[in-house]
Amino acid sequence: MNPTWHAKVRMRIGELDLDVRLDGGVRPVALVGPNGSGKTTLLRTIAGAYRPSAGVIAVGERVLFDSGRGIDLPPEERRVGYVPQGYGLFPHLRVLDNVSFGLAGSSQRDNGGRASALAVLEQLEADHLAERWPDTLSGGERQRVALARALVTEPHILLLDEPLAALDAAARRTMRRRLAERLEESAVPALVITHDVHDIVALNADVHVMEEGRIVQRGPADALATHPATEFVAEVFASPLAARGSRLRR
Amino acid sequence: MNRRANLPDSLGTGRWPSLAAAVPMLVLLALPVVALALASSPAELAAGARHPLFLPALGLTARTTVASLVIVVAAGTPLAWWLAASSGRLARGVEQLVDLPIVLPPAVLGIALLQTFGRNGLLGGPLEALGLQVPFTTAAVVVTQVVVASPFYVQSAAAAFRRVDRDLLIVARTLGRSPAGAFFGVAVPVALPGLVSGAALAWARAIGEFGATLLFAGNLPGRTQTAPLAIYTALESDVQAAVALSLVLAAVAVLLLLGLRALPGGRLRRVMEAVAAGAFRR
Repeated sequence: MNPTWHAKVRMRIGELDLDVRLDGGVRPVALVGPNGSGKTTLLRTIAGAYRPSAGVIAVGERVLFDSGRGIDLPPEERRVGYVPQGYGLFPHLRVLDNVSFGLAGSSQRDNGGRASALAVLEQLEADHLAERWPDTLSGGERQRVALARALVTEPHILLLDEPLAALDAAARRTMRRRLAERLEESAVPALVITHDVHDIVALNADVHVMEEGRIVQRGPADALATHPATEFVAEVFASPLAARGSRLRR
Repeated sequence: MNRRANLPDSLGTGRWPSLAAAVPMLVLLALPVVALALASSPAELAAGARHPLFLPALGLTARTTVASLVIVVAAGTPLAWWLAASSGRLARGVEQLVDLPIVLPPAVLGIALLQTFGRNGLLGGPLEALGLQVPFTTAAVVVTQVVVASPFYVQSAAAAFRRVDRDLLIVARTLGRSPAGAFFGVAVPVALPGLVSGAALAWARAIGEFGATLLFAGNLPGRTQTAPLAIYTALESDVQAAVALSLVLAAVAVLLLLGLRALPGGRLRRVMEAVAAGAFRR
């Protein structure tokens, strides 16, 4: 597989000592790890919210960060689509204004912006929500709106922090399938934090396992199940894949 | 929004005994307001309102408090934002400093301001070289109001900014906004209820400012005699004028209080409810 993006990041934030190297292609990459292992910090770092002490982050031809060459693009120039845990919808804006927030000119209600925002919402079967307020949406609806908001700016990589965790089991099954379809259609590389083996299988993701700021193992889910490198990997992959259907967390 | 604690019966002290115990405080709070309202007949009030002190003092209060509110919001918002974003010892120290005017006796504050802006004060030399005199001018009234009122705004605004999920700001940046664009496009609107209630508290405090103003700005009709000072002056000669002015200030205060309770509807209200419900925070 040809990697279309790669990140080599070394930094220290509070107690967390992060030193990772990961890459991916068009196939989604799942980032798995215990709480506090630095997954969210890594996503935010790729988005440009934290500056690594050393490293390189590149997506396609574009170098977003390179400590050696003194390159550090601000978040607004990185062309990343960031969907935080809980989706991070702007509570003071209606759905359509949330989605068109990132469109040029920032006169969000101009016709071009409105039309492209509506088009993306339609692709995600969420156009009927356009005039709703975020706090009136269900978890699944929020997730689709947040995904639409990230996709409308045509990002070169999607960073999704537990996009399915806030959903109940039934919604999660549906949304997992839709998300997989959506990522495949859009052909945008994605880095997805998840705790659920079923998400990884549905997304057909390449897995990076992160523990205490380090990547301890990578590969497809079944390889991790048969040859787990750590206790955590064994716990997450071996037993659930042996007995598909059991849930990991929540 | 249900703000009652809803203690189980076994833990509560019982409804009627606790009300009975609360009565003294309630009476003490309510009685002065009732007394003020009953103090005058409408005719006496009208006569009081025609007192020569009345309108100039109210006008000066309106002008100076609007000016000080603008300064408090313009200068206090960046400070509040910095306080909300910082967690070091410096920030904690600054927080204490911001609170200082709340705990300092107004008379002490008046002296401190004289020691700062007075002819022999810290800034006296430079100000004199520029031909500026601050004490006993309308500017002194505004400076005093800014100092006493700003803690209320800064603390409320900092608390509101702290409640803004930092992921919202990261998202705004990745969607193409500059730091300033994310601040004005997301942080300010999301924190708006806290900013507005802080501004209202600060304004109320500025309207009521008396002691420090008296020492630092004096009590000059038309220049530094704000409504509270006019009440003080009127009390010596014309009690009705004092009561009439007091009622106007009380009405303004009550309106501010009611306004705080029912902040402008629509969007602002919705945001408040959303924030209160924690719907957008982890």
